[in-house]
Amino acid sequence: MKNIKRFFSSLVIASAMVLSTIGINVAYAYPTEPIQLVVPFKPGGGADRTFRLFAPYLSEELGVPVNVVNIAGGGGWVAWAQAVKWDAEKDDHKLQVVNLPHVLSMLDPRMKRTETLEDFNFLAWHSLDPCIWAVREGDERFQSLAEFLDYVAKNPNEVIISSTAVGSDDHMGIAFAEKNIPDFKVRKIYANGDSKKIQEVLAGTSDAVAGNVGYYVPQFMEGKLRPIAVLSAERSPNLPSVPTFAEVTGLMNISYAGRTLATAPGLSEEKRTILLDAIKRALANPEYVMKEMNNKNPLMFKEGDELWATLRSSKAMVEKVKFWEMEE
Amino acid sequence: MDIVALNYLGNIFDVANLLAMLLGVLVGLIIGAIPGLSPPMAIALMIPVSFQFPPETALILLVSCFAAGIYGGSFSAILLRAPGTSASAASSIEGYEMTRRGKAIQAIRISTFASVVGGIISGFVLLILAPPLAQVALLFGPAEYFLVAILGLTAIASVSFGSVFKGLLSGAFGLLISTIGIDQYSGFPRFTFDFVGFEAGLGILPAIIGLFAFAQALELSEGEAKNTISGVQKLSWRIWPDLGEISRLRWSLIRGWSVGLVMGVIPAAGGSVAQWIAYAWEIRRAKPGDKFGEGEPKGLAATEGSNNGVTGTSLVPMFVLGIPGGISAAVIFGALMIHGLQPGLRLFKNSPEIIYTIMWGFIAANVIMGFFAIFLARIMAYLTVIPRGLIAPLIMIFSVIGTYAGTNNIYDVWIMIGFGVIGYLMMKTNFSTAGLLLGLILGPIAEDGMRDLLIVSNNAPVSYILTRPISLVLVVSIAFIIYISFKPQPWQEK
Repeated sequence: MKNIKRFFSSLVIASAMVLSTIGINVAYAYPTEPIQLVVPFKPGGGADRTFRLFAPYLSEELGVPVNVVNIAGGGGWVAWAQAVKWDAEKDDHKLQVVNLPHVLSMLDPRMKRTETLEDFNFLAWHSLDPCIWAVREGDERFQSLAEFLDYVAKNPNEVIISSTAVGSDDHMGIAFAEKNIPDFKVRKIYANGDSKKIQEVLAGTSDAVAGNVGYYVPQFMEGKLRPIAVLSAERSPNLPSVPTFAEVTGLMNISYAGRTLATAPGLSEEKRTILLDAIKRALANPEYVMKEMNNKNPLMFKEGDELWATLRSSKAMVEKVKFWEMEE
Repeated sequence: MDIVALNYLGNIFDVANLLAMLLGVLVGLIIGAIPGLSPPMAIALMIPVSFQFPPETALILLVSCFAAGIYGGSFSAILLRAPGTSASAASSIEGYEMTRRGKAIQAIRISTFASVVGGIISGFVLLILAPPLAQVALLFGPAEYFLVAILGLTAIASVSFGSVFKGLLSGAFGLLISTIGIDQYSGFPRFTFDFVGFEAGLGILPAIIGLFAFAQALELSEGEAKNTISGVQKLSWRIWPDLGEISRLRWSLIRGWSVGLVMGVIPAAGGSVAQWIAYAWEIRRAKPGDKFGEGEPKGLAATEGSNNGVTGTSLVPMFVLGIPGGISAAVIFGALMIHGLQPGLRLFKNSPEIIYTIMWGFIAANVIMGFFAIFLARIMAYLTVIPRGLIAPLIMIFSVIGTYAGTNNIYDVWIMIGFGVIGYLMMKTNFSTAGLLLGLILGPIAEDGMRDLLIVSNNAPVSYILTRPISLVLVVSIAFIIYISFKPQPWQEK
C-alpha cells in the first residue's frame, strides 16, 4: 500500500517536473516544431525557387526544419485568404509569402475581395526586383528611353509592347506612362510569363518588352536585348548604366515585383521577434546572398515602418493607376 | 559542333554523374507514375538536393528526373487509365484498352521502347542541332500559335470514336470552360461566379485526373467486385519487344518520334499537343483491321514515341535563347541560373564542358531509364490483377491525394471530382472526354494567339497570315485534315 502511495506521489512529482520544463520551453524556446513556409504558387515558379533556396538558411537560424509548402490557386488568394485568418496560437509556426503587386489585386473592385493590407501581419520584406523596359539591341528606331518615347509620340499606336497580364507590375508601369504622358499611345500584347514575352520581342512580333531586371539580365549579357529604363527611384546595382524612368522624363514611374513574409495576425511579440531576427540573419548569410546573386533575385530586407511605407506607396501607386478602369 | 560535344562524352562516366542519373531517374519514375504529381514537381523537389553538387552533376540530376517523369506518367496511364502527367493523357486511351484486353505487358513493352528510343533520339537532336534549331522557335508568333492550336483541335474529329458530332460538342464544351479565370487582357474574372477556385482558371492536371482516372474508377465500381481489370491473373515476363513487333510498328514509331521532335521546339505548345497530333495522324492512316479505340498498339506507339520525343528538343529554346518552353524547362532554367550559368549561346562557347556533359547525361539517363523501367513496370503491372473492388477505391484515393499534394489547393480537389463525374457521364453517353480535354488545353493557346494576332496585325489577320510561310503551311495542313476527316475511313466502313 505504502509502495503504491509512494509510486503515485513520485509520479505526480515527476510529471510536474516534466510539465514545468515544457512550460519553460514554451516561454523561452520557440520555435518548437518545424516551420511551414507557405508559397502561394505552384512548385517550380520563381517564388518557389527563391524560398526553396532560402529555407535551409532560415532553418539554420531557427534551429528547426523549415518546410516549403505550396498552396496554389486564385492568383495567390487561396493561400492569402487563409493566412489573414491564421490563429496566433495554433498557427504560430507558419510563415506566408506575400507577393507585391499581386496581393494588391484586392483593390480591384471586380475581384470583390474583403481583405485589406492591414489584415496581414507583415514581418519583413525579402526581395524586390524593379521593372525594366527593354528593346532589341541594334533596333535603329530607338536605343534609349528618350528615343523610344519620341518615336511613340510621332507614330501613335505603332509600337507594340509585350507585357505580363493586366494588373501585373509590368503592366502597371505601362499604364502609368499611358496615364501621365499625353501622347504615349502603344499597342500591348499580354503573356502570363516572361518566356512568351522574350520570344515575341526577339522574333520581332513586338518592339519592346516590360519585365523585371532579374529575369532579363541574361538576355542583356547575351547582347540580344538592351535595357532602356529602370522603373525605380534609384538605378539598379545590376544595371548601373541604365537610367531610371524619372531621370529621363521627370515622372516617378515606380513598379516592381516584391516578396514579403507575413505571420499569423496577433502573434506574440516574443515569437515575432524571434522569427524576424532569424529572417534578418538568414537574408544576410553570404552563402545565400551569393546564390540569389546568381539567381538574379535582388534581396532587400525591410521591417517595421520602413516596410509599411513601401507597402503603402505601392498601394497608392495602384490606386492612382486604377488599371481596372483603363481596359474596356 | 558535334565533334566538340564528343570530347565530353567521358564525363558522364564520372561516379557522381552516374549516381545523379540513377537518383534522378528513380525519383522521376516514381513521382511521374503517381497521378497528380508531375515532373516539374519532381524537379522542384530535387533542386535543394542539387545544390550539394557541381553544376553539371546537378543539372544531370534534374534532366534525368525530367525524362523519367514524362515516361513514368505512362505506367499509370496504361495500367489504370490514370495519366500521371499531362503528356501521357493520349496514351491512356489505347494503352488502357490494351490492358483491359489482357495485353498490359505488351503495352508497357511498346511504351518503354518508344519512350527510351524517342528520348535518346531527342537527346541527340538537342546535342547536335540545338543552336540552329532554336531559331525555329522564333518563327512562331501569334498567328502560328493560333493555327497550331486549331491544328490540334482537328484531332478531335479523329479521337472521338463513334460520333464526330458528339466529339465536336465535347471539344466546344472544353473550349468554353477554358475561358474560366482572370482574363489577362483586362484583368476581368470571367465565369468565376465569385468562386476563388475558378479565379486562376481550370487546371489541366485536375481535369486530366478527373476525366480519366476518377471517371474510370467510377466505372470500375460497377459490376463484380472480384473481377480484375484485364481478366487475366498471370503476367508474362517478356518486357522488351522483339524485332517483329518493332517492325510492325516502325512507321507509327517514326511518325510519333518526328511529331515529338518538331513540336518540342515550339515553346509552350509542344508537349501537351504533340501526343494528340501524333495519335490523330495514326488514326487517319488506319488500315483495315486496325482497331483504334479498342487497344491498337500503333496508336500507343505513336503517343508514347511523341511524348518522349518532345523531351530533348523542348530544352533547345531554353538552353539557346533563355526561353523555357514549359514548366519543367523553366525549373531547369532556374537551376542553371542558381548555379551561375546564364542560358544562351555564350554558355555553349564559355562552358562547353558543362552544357555538353548535361546533354550527354540526358541521353544516358534515357538508357538507364529503360533498364529501370522495365522492372518497375513489370511490378506495377500487378495492379491490373488486383480485383476491381480494391483497385477502384484505390484509384479514387490516389486521385484525391495526387490532386491535393501538388498544390495543397482544396478547390482543385473539388474541380477534379467535378470533372470525374462529368467524365463518367460522358463515357456512358458516348461523348468524348479526349475532345473535352483537347478543348481545355488548346483553348487558351488559340485565344491568346487570336487576340495577339488581332493586335499585332491591326485587325487584319488574314493579310498578316498570308505573309508568313509557316502560317501558310499550317493553313494548308488544317484544310487537308478537315477534308480527309470527313471522308469515311476504310476501318469505319467495316
